Amino acid sequence: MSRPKDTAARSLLAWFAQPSHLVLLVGVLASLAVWVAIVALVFNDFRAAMRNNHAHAAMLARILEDQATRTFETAELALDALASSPAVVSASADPRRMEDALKQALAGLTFLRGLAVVEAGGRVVASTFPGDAEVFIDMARIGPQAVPGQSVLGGWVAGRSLQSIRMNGSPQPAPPGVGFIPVQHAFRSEAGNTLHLVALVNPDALSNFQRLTLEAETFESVVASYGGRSWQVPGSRLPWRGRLWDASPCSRRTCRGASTAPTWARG
Amino acid sequence: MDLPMTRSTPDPRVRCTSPCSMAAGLLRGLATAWVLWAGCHAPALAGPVADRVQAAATVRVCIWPDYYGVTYRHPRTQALAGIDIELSAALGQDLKARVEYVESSFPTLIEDLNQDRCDVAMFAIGMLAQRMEKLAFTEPYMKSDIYGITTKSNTVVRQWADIDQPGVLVGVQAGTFMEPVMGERLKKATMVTVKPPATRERELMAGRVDVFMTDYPYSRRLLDNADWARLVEPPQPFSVLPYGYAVKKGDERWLATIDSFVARIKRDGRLRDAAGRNGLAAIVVR
Repeated sequence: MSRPKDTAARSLLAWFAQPSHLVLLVGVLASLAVWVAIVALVFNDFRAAMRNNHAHAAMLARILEDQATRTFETAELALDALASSPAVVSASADPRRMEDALKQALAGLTFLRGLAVVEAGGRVVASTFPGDAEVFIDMARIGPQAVPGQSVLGGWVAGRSLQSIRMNGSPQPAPPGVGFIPVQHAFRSEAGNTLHLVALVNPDALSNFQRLTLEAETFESVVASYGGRSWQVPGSRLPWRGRLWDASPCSRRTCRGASTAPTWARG
Repeated sequence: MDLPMTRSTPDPRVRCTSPCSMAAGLLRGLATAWVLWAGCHAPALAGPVADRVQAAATVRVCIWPDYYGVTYRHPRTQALAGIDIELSAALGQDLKARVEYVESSFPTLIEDLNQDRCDVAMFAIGMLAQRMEKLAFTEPYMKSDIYGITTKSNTVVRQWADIDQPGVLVGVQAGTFMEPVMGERLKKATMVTVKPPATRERELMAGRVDVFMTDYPYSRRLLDNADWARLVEPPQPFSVLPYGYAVKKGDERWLATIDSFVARIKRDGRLRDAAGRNGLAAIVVR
């Protein structure tokens, strides 16, 4: 019974005993080892490339986040400073003095389409845009009503000035894609009235910076509010519209330096 | 090269050769007095600038220090550079005079020259009819069309045809030749005149204009230095304007001096070389 087995074992040993067969076996094993090593290396490189890609995207997002945050913080700061300017806050402040103060502030702010002082009821008291004064605007369109001392950011509004959201009369025509992001700061004048300073941030200032930062990259970017609403900036390479997430992915504390808006870069 | 800068002086000697009555003599006397007065003052129109430059060995050159590629003061180093900085230095060498730069601008150019704040304006001045009425110009040494500059991400203006459309805001620098040209040519868009301290670049970045119009030198330099800028070229010549140097009217000798300088730099290659160094070779008038 064991004879055929012995014969097979002996013939196998004899086959292995031949040097050429041994070389073949070693060769097969060696090539297998090489293939395993190559696969492991490729996998490792892929993981490293992914890690680098994520790190690079995170770095780009930090740059974009920093620019977006600085833009809106500077707008808030400018409004805060204007809200304590005698030309704007004093009881005797007339619209012409207010307008001069707004124009002076606007000269140094290269990301604002314009500035305006609006009454709580929506009447534009003074504006850097000619023809805006005395127009009544829909306050709901510039974001939630701010209380004195508070700054509030609105969503993207189509148009070039506050006349595009006027209540009466036809809104001022603007080419498609032209819009602004309103930042409002409420304050109380010396006469006791609540007034709103409104800064009209030019979204193109954000998208232009994003475009330049990502020009040679394969990434896409979007600026979003904490509520998850993307600010669709026409002309930019933004792939998303509307709401990006239901709950805020980060709080003011956890989002590095972003007091206004988190910015995302995706590879 | 030394240039003769002499002035012609009319002969003030006036003699009455015919017999005349007392009244006629009185009238002639008055006429003679007028001729003598005019004779004394006529040389003042013949070459006061040339005389002053020769006497002081200093030529005061009006420049606009914001003109990229032409007469540009670097904001950090404060060093002046550009084709007309090089050519004004060449003018100083030719006249054996020291060059003194006087800051000017297109809106103040006519007043600066006519009020003798400078002897010659050398900053690629467009030879507009309005300017030629009030100033004397040399032969042109450059020429330029009008170009649009917008941001790379701007969706309103993508091509030349998008500029003259309803609701589009087109910026022009106050006092530049684009102001009257665009004022006349824009039918649907709104022209926004940008006055200092505002700048066209800042107005564009802020979205207060959608595009601003400029000339070849400014557009090229802007494209070299501002990575956000995008050039919008006219598909065919839109409004080509020759550029020359301007002097105050009434001093023909001084104009001839500057004109001969322009002819020399064209001939000896200094214009071509300076234009090449400043990226303006394409618009040189040979």
